[in-house]
Amino acid sequence: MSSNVAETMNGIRERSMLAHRGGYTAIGISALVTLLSVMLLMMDTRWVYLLVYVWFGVAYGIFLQYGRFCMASAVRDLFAVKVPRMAVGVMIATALFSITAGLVTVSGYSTFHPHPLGWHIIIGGLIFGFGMVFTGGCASGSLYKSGEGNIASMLVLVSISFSQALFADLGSWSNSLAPSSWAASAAEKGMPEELSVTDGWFDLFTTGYVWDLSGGTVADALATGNTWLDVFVGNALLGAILPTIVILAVLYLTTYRKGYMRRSKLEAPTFADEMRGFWGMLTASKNTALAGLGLGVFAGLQMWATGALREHYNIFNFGELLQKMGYTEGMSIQQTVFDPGYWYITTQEAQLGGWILDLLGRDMMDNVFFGLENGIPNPLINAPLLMSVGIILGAAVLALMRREFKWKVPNMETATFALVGGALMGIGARLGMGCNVGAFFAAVTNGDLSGWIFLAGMTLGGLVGVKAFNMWLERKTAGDVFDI
Amino acid sequence: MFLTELFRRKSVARAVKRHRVSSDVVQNVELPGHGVVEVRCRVSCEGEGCPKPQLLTLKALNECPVGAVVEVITDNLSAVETIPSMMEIYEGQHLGTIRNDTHWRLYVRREP
Repeated sequence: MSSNVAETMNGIRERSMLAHRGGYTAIGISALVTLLSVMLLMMDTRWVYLLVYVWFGVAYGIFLQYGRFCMASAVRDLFAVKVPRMAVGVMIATALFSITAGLVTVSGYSTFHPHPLGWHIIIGGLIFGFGMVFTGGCASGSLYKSGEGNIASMLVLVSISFSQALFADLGSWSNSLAPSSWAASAAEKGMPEELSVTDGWFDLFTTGYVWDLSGGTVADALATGNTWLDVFVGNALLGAILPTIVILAVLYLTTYRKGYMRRSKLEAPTFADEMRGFWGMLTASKNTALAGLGLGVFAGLQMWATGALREHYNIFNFGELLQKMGYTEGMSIQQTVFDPGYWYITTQEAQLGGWILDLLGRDMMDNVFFGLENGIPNPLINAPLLMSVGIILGAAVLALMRREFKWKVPNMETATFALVGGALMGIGARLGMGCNVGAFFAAVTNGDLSGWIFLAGMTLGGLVGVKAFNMWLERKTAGDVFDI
Repeated sequence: MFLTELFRRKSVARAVKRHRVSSDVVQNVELPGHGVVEVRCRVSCEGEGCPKPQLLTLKALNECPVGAVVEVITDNLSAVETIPSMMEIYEGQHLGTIRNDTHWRLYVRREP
């Protein structure tokens, strides 16, 4: 037997979460973030706008780590091993966030903008879903796993950042890959010359294709004149909750029901038995379900908090506040920065990649993505990026307290998958206008049905990815011996 | 043909080595609610990311005798959550999970 003490899962829970080295480190991290927050507020109370992002990020990180919440698992575990645990957790979070987002919308504080609807969403989802199977985590999953010390997940973050930045700043060589209709449409937009919108595939894609599309929410389509009806019946019920219930029912019937009836020894189940089985599936993993509830509530709270702060400071974008505070570097030509006001992941990672490339001498502002829309502010004042840092720190704090933090150095295969898969995730995210959080979670919960299309693409890409991964694993482990 | 055979044997040898019994391994383990159980097969997947531990566990369950206890050694937290749920789907049984400082050991078997 190993010299390490072996404990059951119950034994671990009975031990103190703080009175050990990891706990002390967790306290240290929490104290440091708190101290820095207080110092910033003492310097200028307007930093509260940025700190809201940070602290909501910490909350997300805690919930993600607590529930092992990863949308890549939702797809991957479903197809690879038919376990619906994570898919159920995602649906719970989606249903709840649709209600909290609805409350924020009717209060007038919503910061959400629907995505344009087009083929790019499903294609982006497909590429993203395929990549995330090989990286072992989605965009948010890679963040929280980085907080657990997983170096492969950190490689994913690096890869996603640079792949997006380079993809958004593709050069003239890529022009021939775009249809000529895109170039003609882009030229008609009358954009400033410094953005060179007719140069580079992604600029042509954005200005010559995406900008010609339209999007909207279910509430916009209903337009009964009664905001509460439009938002809660349209966005929440029709746009999110009903599809969620249908998906949960399909998950129950195709994966969970057979095992439940067998364990319960029910040969002729009644409707009540089926409902008990369905409830059993929803609560099979309590921490995942609780994490879903927490994420749904906090995601809505963040929208409310940011909306309220914008009203308080009379701004529509953080860039305005930064300028008033004396920070002007890195803004877009519209004097804006990326400031979604809700949980988002990939764009701020692209900004980090772009900032580093800009520092290394590459002009990253001669395109629409950075130059017109998002800017490349200094990472230390990039609010959404610090939210992602918050996610990593929140996950690290909880992992340290639970003795689950461990530096995991990947082997060559895992590292290669992380880099290549991460690059695919980055490309897919830019094509689909977001990731599992920005293009799916935030979208469907605010009545934007393009989110379900992204999920469909992500699911299909995940299915193909699982098949490919399985083939690879079969080939590698052929001849493996498991007997002792 | 000789070279491909050589590479195949090296690949099998590496695979066997990967799953060889390590010096601190026990054959019997006491699990709450089940008493002392004999471990018949082992899957070592420390350092492996998702979905490898889950897929290797399924592979081991398929290839080991029905009813034989399979020990899965992993430090992947998602796998620690998912593998017990897998047993409910695959007519298997999750006997227990023991945690050491650096990894978890899950004990599963296919039900007869």
